[in-house]
Amino acid sequence: MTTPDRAVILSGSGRPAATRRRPWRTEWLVLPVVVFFALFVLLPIAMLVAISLSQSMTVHALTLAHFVRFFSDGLSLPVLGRTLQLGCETSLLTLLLSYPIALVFNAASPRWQRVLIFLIVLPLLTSAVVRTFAWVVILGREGLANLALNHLGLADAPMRLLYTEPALVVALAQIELPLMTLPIIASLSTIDPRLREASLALGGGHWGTLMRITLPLSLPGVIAGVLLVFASACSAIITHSIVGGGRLLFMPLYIYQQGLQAQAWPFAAAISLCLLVAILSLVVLVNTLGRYLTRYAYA
Amino acid sequence: MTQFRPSRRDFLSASAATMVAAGAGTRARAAGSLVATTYPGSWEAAHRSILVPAFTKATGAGVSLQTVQALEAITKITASRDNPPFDVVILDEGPYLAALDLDIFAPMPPSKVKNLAEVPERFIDPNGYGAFVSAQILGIVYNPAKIKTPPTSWLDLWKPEYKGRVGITGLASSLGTAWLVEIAKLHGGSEANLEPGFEAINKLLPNVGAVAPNPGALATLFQQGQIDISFNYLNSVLPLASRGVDIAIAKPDSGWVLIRNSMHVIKNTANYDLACEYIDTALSTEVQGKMASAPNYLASTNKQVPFQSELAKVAKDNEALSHLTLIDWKTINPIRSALIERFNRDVRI
Repeated sequence: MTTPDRAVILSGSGRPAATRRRPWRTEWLVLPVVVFFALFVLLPIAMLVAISLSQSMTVHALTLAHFVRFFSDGLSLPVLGRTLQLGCETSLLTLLLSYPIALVFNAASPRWQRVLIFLIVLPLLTSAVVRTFAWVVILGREGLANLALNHLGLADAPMRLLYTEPALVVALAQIELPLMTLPIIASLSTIDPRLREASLALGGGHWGTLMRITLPLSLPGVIAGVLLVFASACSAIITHSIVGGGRLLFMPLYIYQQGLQAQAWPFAAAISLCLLVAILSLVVLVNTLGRYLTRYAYA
Repeated sequence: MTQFRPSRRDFLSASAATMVAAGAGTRARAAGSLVATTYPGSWEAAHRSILVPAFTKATGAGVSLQTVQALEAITKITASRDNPPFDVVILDEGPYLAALDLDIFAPMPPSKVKNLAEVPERFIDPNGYGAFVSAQILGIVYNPAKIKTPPTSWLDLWKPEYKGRVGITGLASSLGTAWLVEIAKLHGGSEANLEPGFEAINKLLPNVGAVAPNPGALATLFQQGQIDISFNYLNSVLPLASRGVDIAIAKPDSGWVLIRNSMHVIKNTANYDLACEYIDTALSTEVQGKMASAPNYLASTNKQVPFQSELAKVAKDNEALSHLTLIDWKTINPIRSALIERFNRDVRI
């Protein structure tokens, strides 16, 4: 109800009547997306549901056995839990790293902003495989991190860094960093600088202004960033297998293993759906929470 | 690693990995060209530099090589039987025998593949669906710079001095599965009774420094200094050694283990004759001779190719080679997915 009014106000033009006269023009533009979405997203998901409910690829009897197995085999649920945990930890670390970068960017002169945006986007321009392998070089037994620790006398024997979960979180956080930084920058740049100045002038202090003005007003960007990083950290199969190694099992590799190696398609489909539902629920939850917080911030 | 093609951010394709398989069949291909699978690593390098040029010279047709592991190739073909994504596949014995029931192979009569005459009986597929083009030799792999006395037994991996220095890989590969069978046999088990093998692996865990996600990654762990002792194929080890990596292979006292590699023409291929010629070229004396020499050392199944240098240390000719320890894959295949599952529970955390 409020959205169209707001759109008119935001567009700031006196031509709402013109667009109202022929509304079908804009609506038809949505059609290709709808068709694309139906063909390549909804249809595959429907197929996935159908496969997950069939006994096996040859016996087409309906069964819930694969979902029962998922919830009762004592392996699948922990794998799902660990995957979601990995997503949460990565999102949190990425947020802690990104927010200061975004603040620095926002405060920088336009000339420096050009340099900074290049540095922020740079990781996106190299392949995920290359970025991931860099972490192998850093964290390996004879890698940079262990060499540094050894030279500083902090460790006698090489420490086991690679193939551990904390290492994976750190690597993912670095790899996903632009996905978090860019939405926050976008969000920060829409904040009227006078609000900050007013807060400072009225004795809000730098810390108080950050916590009570800047942070709440940038929440939409933070939420967008968290969702992007969460979803991509949960599905980063390349990084999971290269930095996590073969011993840490997360959902994408589990699906790959069951689908392509064990050839248990119905079970792989069931796992995929469980991951999909779990991530969607978390996304909806964060979104709802975010909307509530944003409304509170703007009130 | 190369098989993980889905883009990192493409969340949907990652969560619906089976769809990737389903989509593979729709790939467009040029006329007069063949789609063949190869394994990542030394196989791909050898096929690209030796087999493909020889085939193109003989037929004028091009080849699109795709690196796909055996089990995955079979899954992708069964996902699109009418329009298979590959014309020729390379497989290991185990996955091949398991796939026989799936009816995905086209018969390959000796009249179409003349070089079959050069292959000894033990390397000819009795089912008439393909030919063994090579065989991988499984042994103990170690870092000679760190381990001065070459290991002699699989059981050396359990020695306390190798704490955190052992590398293994999972049971989705023939490599990991064959090794598990050998370990089970050393502890009184067999292909039909792998329980002693799993018990031994559980005792090995304190020694395990890394579990490689696939066989290709297992060999490179030596390069990174991550592990000092492991198991692998001769043809994965020697190319690394020739590039200066501290890596060597030793014969276990229980004997070398042999895993035969076969090539097959896929049913419903639009390039049946070309596919047969591709396999014929792969069996030719010229190609087999080059594949068997440095740096790839892919053992030859062609009688005319003499066994030289490193391969001669394993077997004097391919008749002797064919008598190395073979794994009974027919017993393993029905329980393969249960093995993968068991490894998930015991080893992965």
